[in-house]
Amino acid sequence: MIKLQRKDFSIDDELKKIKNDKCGASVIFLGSVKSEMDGKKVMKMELDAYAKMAEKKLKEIEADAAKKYNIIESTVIHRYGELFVGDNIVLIIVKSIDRAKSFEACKYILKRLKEEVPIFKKEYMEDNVFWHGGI
Amino acid sequence: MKVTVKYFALFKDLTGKIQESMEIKKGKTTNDLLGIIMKKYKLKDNVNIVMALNQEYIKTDALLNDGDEVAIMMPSSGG
Repeated sequence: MIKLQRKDFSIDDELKKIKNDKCGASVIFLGSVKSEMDGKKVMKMELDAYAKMAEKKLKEIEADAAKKYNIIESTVIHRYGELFVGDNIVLIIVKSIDRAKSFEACKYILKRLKEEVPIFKKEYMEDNVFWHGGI
Repeated sequence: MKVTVKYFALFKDLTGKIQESMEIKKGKTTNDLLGIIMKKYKLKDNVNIVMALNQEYIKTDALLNDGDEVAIMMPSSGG
């Protein structure tokens, strides 16, 4: 299941939604807004997304990961909008029978998400505001 | 023919637009359209531009068709 949303999410709630007792392993990745970058204070972050394409890409990545690593259940949620230090940004949950494959699948999804899913970060630093990768 | 151009992230800021409909001549390509956009908004060459055509990244210059959706954006930075 993939979701692109403005609102926050609950890890517990999302885990319950994909409960499957065949799976002995659930690997969770949670990304959140950090307070410092390159030694400078982060004030907040703005996330913009090309929603239609981002959802399409996330579905492709999730399907590829399911096939490659025998994932039984998975959830990928990415937030957009204005986020502050400590706020959740992204959640990846992978459930499979094999623990090692779950870890690999989680890393695989995150790597491809960062490279392929059109979501963009604008950082509001204490002395500067910039889009990642802009210039 | 008409294409819809969507702007994301830095390009929303630089153009002041989220999207627009552009009239272009038949036979024009994504690179031609990018040239028109760069001239119209005086975008500099040192800006990283990533384009998508109908929700797929463009790897090479592609012919445009009526009703196409073109996205002007930056490299992904989510996660």
